[in-house]
Amino acid sequence: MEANTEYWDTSRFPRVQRITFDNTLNQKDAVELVKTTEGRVDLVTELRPLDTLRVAESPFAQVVKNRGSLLAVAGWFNMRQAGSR
Amino acid sequence: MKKCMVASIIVMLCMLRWSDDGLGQEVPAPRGELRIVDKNPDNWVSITFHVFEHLVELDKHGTLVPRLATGWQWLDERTLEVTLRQGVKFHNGEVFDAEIVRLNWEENIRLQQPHMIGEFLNFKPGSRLEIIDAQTVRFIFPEPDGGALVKLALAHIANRQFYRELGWGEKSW
Repeated sequence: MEANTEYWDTSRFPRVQRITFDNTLNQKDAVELVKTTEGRVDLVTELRPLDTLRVAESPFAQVVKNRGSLLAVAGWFNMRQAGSR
Repeated sequence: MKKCMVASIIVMLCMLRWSDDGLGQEVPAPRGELRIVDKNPDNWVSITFHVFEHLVELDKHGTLVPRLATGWQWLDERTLEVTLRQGVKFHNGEVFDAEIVRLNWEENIRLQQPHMIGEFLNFKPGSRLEIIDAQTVRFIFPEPDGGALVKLALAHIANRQFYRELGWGEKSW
């Protein structure tokens, strides 16, 4: 995603020029890269508890904890198309 | 000479102060790149809501706040008139106006796809949009729709390039 430098609302103006969501990496490699390199991967979410300890020891990365919000899981049906699952 | 210097220093300070205020309103240019690996299956929600803007938004108190619309008014119980923000541009320079709202409205109505949150967020068949001028549109509903503004808060506004090159996916629906 590229920043919209013409964005009208200066109170929400983009601060980062480009954001890339990299889905080619698996979680294990991503954690390894965020721990051991600078710039290849900047942010990894959904860390397992043991990984947080390993990342915390890294000079390249830090663990950011956030209070979780209530999570709702929902499913829905398509009632328009016969045979759809 | 001394007086003159003092005066010029005062003038200079005033100018600095003035330019300081000016700078305070200027927003720093975006910079750098973030590379993210996010395996959370719900991340599309936050991505979508950061890419597409909406006519109105619900704030954390559940109050409707103006975004791409600057105001709205029910002319009668089936007609909602919305005033559009002027001077808004998409990242590619396209101008946001009533025609853009119509394009998104037509795609929304045409698809009638199972909505991400629920079918009750689709607009009733027979709902239509009228352009009054470049900054004003009217939504006309076949029957009173108390949820109309909340539906609009979830109706993404995309530009022409988006519909030309991508459009809303899941054609199999």
